[in-house]
Amino acid sequence: MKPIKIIYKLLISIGVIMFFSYASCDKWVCGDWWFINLTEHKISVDVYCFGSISTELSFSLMPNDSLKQITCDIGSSPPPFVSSTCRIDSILLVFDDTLVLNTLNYWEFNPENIEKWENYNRKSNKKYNFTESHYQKALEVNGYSR
Amino acid sequence: MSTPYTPSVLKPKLKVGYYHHDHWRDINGSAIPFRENLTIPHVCIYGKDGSGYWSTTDFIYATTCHEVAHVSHWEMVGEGAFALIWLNPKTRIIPESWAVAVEWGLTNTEYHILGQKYGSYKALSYNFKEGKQFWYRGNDEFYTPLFIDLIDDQNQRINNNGSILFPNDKVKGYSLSILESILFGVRDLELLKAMLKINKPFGVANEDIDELINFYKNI
Repeated sequence: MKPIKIIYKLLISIGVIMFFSYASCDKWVCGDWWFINLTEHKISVDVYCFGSISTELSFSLMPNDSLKQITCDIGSSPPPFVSSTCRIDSILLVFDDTLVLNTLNYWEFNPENIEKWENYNRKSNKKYNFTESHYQKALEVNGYSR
Repeated sequence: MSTPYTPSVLKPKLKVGYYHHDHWRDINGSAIPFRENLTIPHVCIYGKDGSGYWSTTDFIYATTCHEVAHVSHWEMVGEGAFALIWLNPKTRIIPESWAVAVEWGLTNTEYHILGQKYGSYKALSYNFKEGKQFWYRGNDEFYTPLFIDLIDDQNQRINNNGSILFPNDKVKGYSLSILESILFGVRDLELLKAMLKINKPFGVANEDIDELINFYKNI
C-alpha cells in the first residue's frame, strides 16, 4: 500500500475516533466502601443530621462483622456519609449499646476522615477498620482507665 | 443564566430523551448537540445504571441539568472552541466541572422552591451530593467541584482537618450567571484565573483565586 493511502486512512480513522469521543457521555461510577469491625464488641454507628438520628446513614456491626456500602456518582464514587438531604452533625460510635465515642471531637477516629481509609486513592475496595484503638479511646473519653 | 438552545431552521428544537438504560454503555446521560437525526435526541438521559439500580428522581433531574449545561456551553463558546476544550485532557475539567456546578445549583434551587411551597425543612436544606465537597485529589480529574467552590462558602481543607488532598477553598460569592458570562471567553485555566480576578466579588483576594485554580490545575 502506498504511503499516501496509509496516511489518508490514518487521518480518516483519527477523524472517526475524534467524532465519537467528542460527545459528552457521563459515566456512572460506583465504588465499594467496606466497614470492618475488628473488635470483640458490637458497634453501632449512629449518624445525626439536624439533631436527629438518620436511619439512612446509620448502621450496626456485630463483632468481627463487616458491611459494604455502594456509592455512585458521575465521574467518581463518593465516600459513605454523603447525602443530599442530611447535613451531618455528628457520627457516634456506640460500643455494646453503652459506651459512646463522638467522632466529631476526634478526627483520627472519624470515618469521614478519608485518609483513614485503606486504598482511598485507588479504584479497589476501600476499607475502614474499627479497631481496638477505637474502643480504647471510647473507654478513655468516658473516664475509664486504659 | 442564558437559555440553553437557540432554535434555527436547521436545528428547530433541542430534543431531550429519556431511556431506562443504555444497553451499550454504563452511563447516566449524554449530550451530542451537533447531532441532527430525526430519531435520536441530542440529549439522552438514562434511569438505570449499569448494575441495574434505578436512579432517584433528584439524580435524574440533576443529570438532565448537567447535559443541557453542556449544550448551552457548546452553543455559547462555539462548536470548534468547545471541541478543542473538550478533547484536551488539560482543559476538559472546565466543561465537566461547569456542568457539575449547574446540576448542583439548579437541583438545589428546585428543591428549595418545593421546600417553600410545601413547608419541608428537609427540602429547604437540600444540598445535591453535598456540593461534591467530598471530592479529593485522586478522584476523577474532570468532574470536580471547581466552579461550586467559587460559589459556596465551604472550605474542604478546613472541613477535612487540613488534609492537602482537598483544595484550600477561600473563594466564595460568585454566581452561576457571572460564571457563565466569564466562561464565554475561557479556553483554559489560566484564562479562567484572569477572568475570575477581573470579575471577583467583594472580599475575594487574587491569591485565593490563584491557590484554588492552581490546585485543580495540578491534579
